[in-house]
Amino acid sequence: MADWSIKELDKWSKLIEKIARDKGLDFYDIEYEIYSHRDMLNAMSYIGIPIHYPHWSFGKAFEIQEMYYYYGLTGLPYEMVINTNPAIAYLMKDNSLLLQLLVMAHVSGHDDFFKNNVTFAHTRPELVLETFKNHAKRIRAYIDDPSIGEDKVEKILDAAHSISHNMGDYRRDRLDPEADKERLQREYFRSVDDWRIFADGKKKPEEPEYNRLPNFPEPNLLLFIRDNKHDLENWEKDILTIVDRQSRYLMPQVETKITNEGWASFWHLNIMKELENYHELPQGMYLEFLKHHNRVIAHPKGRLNPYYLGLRVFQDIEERFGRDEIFLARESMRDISFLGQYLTKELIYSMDMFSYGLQKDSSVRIEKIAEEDEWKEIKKILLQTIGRNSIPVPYIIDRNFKNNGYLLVDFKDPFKRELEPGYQLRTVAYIEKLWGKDIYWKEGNTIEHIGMEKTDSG
Amino acid sequence: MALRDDVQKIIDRERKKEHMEIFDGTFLDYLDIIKKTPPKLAHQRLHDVIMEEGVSVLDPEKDPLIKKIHGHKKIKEYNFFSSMYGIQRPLQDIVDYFRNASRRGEEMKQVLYLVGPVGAGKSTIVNLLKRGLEGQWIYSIAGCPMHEEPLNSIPQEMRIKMENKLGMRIEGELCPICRGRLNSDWGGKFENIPVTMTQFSRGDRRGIVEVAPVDPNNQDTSVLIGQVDISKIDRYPEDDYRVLSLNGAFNRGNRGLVEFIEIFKNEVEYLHEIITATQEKRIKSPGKNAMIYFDGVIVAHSNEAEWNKFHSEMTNEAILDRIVKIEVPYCTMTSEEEKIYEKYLRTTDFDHHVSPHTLEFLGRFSVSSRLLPSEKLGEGGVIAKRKIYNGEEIIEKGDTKRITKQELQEDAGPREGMEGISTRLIFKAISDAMAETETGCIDPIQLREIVLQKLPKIMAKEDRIKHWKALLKDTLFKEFLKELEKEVTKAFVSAFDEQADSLFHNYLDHAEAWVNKTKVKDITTNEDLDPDEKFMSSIEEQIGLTGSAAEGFRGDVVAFMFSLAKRNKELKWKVYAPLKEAIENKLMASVKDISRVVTQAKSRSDREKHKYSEMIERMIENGYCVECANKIIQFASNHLWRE
Repeated sequence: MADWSIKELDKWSKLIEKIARDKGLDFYDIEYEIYSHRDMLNAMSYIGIPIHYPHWSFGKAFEIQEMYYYYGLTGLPYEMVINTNPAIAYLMKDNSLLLQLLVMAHVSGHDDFFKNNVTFAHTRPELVLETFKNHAKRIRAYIDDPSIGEDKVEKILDAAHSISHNMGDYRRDRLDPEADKERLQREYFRSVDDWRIFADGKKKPEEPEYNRLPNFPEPNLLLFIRDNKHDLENWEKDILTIVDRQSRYLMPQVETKITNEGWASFWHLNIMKELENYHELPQGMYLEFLKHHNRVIAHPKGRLNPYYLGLRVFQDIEERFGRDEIFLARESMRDISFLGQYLTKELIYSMDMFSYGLQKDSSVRIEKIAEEDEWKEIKKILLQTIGRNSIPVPYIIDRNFKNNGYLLVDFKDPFKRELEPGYQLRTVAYIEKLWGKDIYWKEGNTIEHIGMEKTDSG
Repeated sequence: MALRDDVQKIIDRERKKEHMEIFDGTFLDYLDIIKKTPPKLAHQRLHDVIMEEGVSVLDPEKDPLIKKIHGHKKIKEYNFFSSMYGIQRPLQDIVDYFRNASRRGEEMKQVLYLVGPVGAGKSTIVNLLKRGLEGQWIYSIAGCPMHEEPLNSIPQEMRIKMENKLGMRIEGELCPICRGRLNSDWGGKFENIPVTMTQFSRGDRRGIVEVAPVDPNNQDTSVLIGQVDISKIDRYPEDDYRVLSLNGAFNRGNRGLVEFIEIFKNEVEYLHEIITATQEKRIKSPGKNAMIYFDGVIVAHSNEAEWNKFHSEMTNEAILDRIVKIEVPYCTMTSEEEKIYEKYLRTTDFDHHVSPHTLEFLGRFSVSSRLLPSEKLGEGGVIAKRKIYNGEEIIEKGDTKRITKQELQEDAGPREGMEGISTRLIFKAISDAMAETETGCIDPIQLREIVLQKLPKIMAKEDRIKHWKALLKDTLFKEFLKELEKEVTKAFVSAFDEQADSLFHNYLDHAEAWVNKTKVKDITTNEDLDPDEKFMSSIEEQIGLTGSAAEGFRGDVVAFMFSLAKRNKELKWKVYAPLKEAIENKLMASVKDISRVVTQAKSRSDREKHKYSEMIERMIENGYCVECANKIIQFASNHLWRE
């Protein structure tokens, strides 16, 4: 129901931008693109990036989304904005004028968050599009290269995608074995010094085996394999680099989902109220807004809605500490610190939060409810599952296990959770494909080889 | 006597106009004229005729409805075709053809060919083109059977110099007759050629000529190019220009338009004449003369079956390449289709009352019969697609369906609109209805019956007819009943809007009490009641809100109401379409005694009788007459409000 014209959109977008800036938001310019729902499905499959390298998994995502959409199982997202400078946001062609305004207001919140939140400080938004474009170009070139071809590229991508998110500190963009070695050496010299000074009958520390590598548990499988598997061809290394880079681009968003959506929702609510109050937004449109807003922040039982949770926390912060504090929070917090600091007992009570778990007989049981001290448990459980806390990170501790070139991987979940065996099995198979040799898995004190039965039929 | 005088005056005036400015001079005198008004080729002339009537641009940026119907592209509506409805695309294609041809594009050398189902408007389009040329004046060589352009007489060896001097291109050549006369009558001096003015006339076969399919046993090309006059053969030598009788369609239609009706009914050899005429701009001469220059618009049309037959023959490729094919499908927009019926009504002598929704119902039927099903719309897709094509909004579960006409059309492909109920069938049904009715009024119920009777007699595949029957009996009928229910209920409930208003305020009272955890006061019993959550959610559900979203909305609406009150404003329910629909539906469902008043015709109490006549009055205000208001209510009572 396109009840708007470009001219109208232009007028409103300027007004919304002005209101947002007057209220203290500070964001990159926003470029809006009008998308058909098909374009939107497309963009969704490519995580919003307009130019992306090809892989069947994106097509699969598209097919699934399209089917859901046509059978009415899911609507399309109201908004999609990508962290670039200028920011690019998509408006659906068939959305009503009100929805476009809602999107614009919401997007200014996101854009402000991207620009100011510390988690995004390293993302270089001005280079994002160029980088993705470049990646796409390189991978297409490998596909078109007759000596490589689509099949080989696809195999590497399949494997790389399977572990691309399971990384440690994503701000580090290369491994530096030399630095690690120096660090190890320094630590060794210090311990020898200590031993000399406090010679208390202990044995002289042994010089570590520098070549065992990694010298410290390495939390980035992709980069480790890239730098340590010597028979990898350059194009294979490049693909691993690309997948790693793209994954790292996404990580800040994973870490700030609740804070970011809460912030954007806080501002869309504010801006729309302002439009109604002072800028003659028609009543019918405001009623329409109330409907969509309440749908966006709907919080049915058993589901955690980041929009709702984030919005409530920001509203609470503002009420208790004033507006300056919310700006401080949006600058310095990610989900874990944000909720850790601001999710109070009172909020947990008023939102009626509870925790639940799957029982052995696959029934669901509510385990903790917002009562007495159980709220602390609820908060603890919540913090363990948000941000990157739900992404397992395996550490490589030996690249030459059993002196046979096997990888030894240590999965230490700080919260002592277990991996889902089906996923683990398939993922290990992919890693073995990349590494070319067996992977041994350390959990606690046991070390075992988890692998699928190898059959010729593959 | 007065009438006689008036008519005489009109005749005098017209005659005067005709004779007043007729030019009479020589080639040299003509040069003064072309300085002011450069001569035009046939395509350009017709293009100018179309454009002179004016164009209005439908700007999607200015009117959202246009965008819904046509997408983001600007659409031009040509006043020349203003009597045609719902076929903007083919009309645009036709004008594009003339524009390109008038600029000497390849189209100038191609036949304009219209194809489409019966009654879609092909002949109407061609008739408009012919009417546009009727009465047009051109300068021509006096006495030329092909009323040719005087500039054609400039000899080839002087062409370049003359073209430079005159600043225009000259491409024609003299016909054999004028060539002969130049030498014998005007002493070989082209500057002495007499120039006059000729007026196009369909009746006189001047500049506007129609060619019906030729008997296959007698594919005599003289119909097209004239013949040698046998009676003169013994008087003149065989190759003398005076034996030629240039009275074929191309001769007479030179500089104007030649129409080929059912073109593919002709033999291929015959078609080649047409192709040469358009491609080479030359036609054969009877006898042994050289080819004759021809400048004219060739318009052809046929139905689809003939096109398919012709198209499937590989040997016809050369001909196909010289045809600009424009599909003229049926109208697929209900509102435009209705306009076609309205126009038809104006042309008939009937002056019956047309009950509301009659033409709408017919339009919906014929448009639905022409649309192809869409997977994306699923159940109820027939109605949904028709509405989207008509630029209407579809609200489902409180949301507008987000699917565009352009997308549906893309999925449907070019076949859509090429099959279905013909407009003529509806015309016939309307006139049948008018002939049959005894009340001086026609209505949708009667027309539905008539069309149902006509369906089995249509030449169409059985499953098609079955589908159309189902449309009338089921899909469209149910839709009609649903709307009728609303209409009758609205007529029944005095002050429908006020009642809806109070229903909405009732909702707000309950919502407020719910938010503040207080009670609602019952007006009649003065009792304190808990807010009625069932009542509230029955409305919220209809705007697509359930659970926590509905509760959030409830609170926000109350807050909004207070915020407005502070600014001395009032919250209105009509301003948001889904809410309006929800409130109206709720109100309709709560109307109680309508069934008694409507259905129990015999045992109405005085109060009920009064109520009934009030209802009729309101329906008359809405465009009904007494007859159809009674009939419709009777009909509605037979199908609705039954226990």
